[in-house]
Amino acid sequence: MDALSLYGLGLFWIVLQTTLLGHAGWSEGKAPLVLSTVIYAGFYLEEIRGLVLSFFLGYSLDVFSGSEPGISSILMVLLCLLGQQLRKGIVVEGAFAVSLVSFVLGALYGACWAQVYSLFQGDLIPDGVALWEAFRQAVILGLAAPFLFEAARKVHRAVSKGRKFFRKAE
Amino acid sequence: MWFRRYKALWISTLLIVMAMAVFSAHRRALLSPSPFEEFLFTLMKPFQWSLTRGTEAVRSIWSGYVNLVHVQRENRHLHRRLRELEQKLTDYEELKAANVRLRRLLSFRGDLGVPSMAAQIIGDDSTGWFRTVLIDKGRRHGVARRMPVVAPEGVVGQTIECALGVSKVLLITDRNSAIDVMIQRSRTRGILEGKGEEDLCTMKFVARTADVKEGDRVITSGLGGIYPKGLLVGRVVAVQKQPFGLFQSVEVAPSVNFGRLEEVLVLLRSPEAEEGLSAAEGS
Repeated sequence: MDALSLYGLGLFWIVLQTTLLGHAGWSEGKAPLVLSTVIYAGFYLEEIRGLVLSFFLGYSLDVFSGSEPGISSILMVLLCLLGQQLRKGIVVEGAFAVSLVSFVLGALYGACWAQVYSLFQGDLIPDGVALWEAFRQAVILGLAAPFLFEAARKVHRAVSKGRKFFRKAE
Repeated sequence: MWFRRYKALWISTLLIVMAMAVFSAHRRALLSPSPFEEFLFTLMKPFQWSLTRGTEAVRSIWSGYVNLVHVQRENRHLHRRLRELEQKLTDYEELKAANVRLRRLLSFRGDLGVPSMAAQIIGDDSTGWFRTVLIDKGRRHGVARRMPVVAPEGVVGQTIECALGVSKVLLITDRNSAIDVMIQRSRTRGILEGKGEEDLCTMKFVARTADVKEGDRVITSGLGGIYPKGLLVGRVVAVQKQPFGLFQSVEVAPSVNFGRLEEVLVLLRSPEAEEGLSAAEGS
């Protein structure tokens, strides 16, 4: 249930990216906001649920972009797995920590995405442009991450509370 | 025991293999669009549609009303009257603009001589990497893959994926886009490729000796099997001839302003042409 609700949140970010940002004249400010949900899942969700959620969020992101479905799924599963390994060693609390981790993982995701894409589609995006785009998107993600993380945390907590309430009622 | 210990790793491997299978099936057009994509498009269409319309309404109120706040402060006694009129004016302007756009679209549709269907843009690309848009017409309306999409100003792109009620359009400015075009004045041919920028494309494979000038109109050549001949694509904005090499570099500005695009026309193919294209794709 918590994974499903986070999936809903991820879909909401995708719809937001495909509609509001463009209409608000923010086309250049686009970044995969949904990455924040994947990173949150990596750090706070049960392992298997987090991985399955990442797979479907990646797939959904590709469906609404010009990319071939599958590439983002692979990278988001790997990103979630990386988050699960990192959470054994570091605690991500506070806006600065969330921003920093999101920036680093976002940049890693963007750079890997560009490389994997060029592996399958050829050098359509020049290296310099790809790295700059990955960096730009990571900066935006890093700045927005505290808010996006808080939204994911609120959704996650609400579902947990709901579950406890129903258990008690039973 | 071993499986339980490395459960996450096993599941990750399985999911990655699944993602690769999806990718592979998609590339070979075996799964285009998959039931999951179909479901997502159908599920999200109302949200995208209402968010798009909502934003437009807010933007219209913002420009028509909030910008006048200072004037309203100076004219308190006219406040209520002004707001009513402003709202009416905004509605009227919106209707007028829509009327002009649709009239142009209708007249353009008549000029084309090809069966076509009007569609509204309901969303754009979810990442910053591609130049694609979603339109509110899909297979149910007779739209299929690789159909040309145009606006009164010129060529917009082609459909690359069609769900039941939504289609994805690859814009001519996307890096994956390539169109066979020619210079209208000198009939010089070339391939127009997107650069991933909103307002610039590159015309490639134009012989160095070919006659190309800034301001020349670029139109579709009709070769390539997707776009009919003679549709306006854009204008030449820069020509660079190197003292060596076979080709010259030609930069083209699309005639369509993609940032302000709201309605488009999908040029429908006849069933025979559809079958021919499918056979060509299959071979």
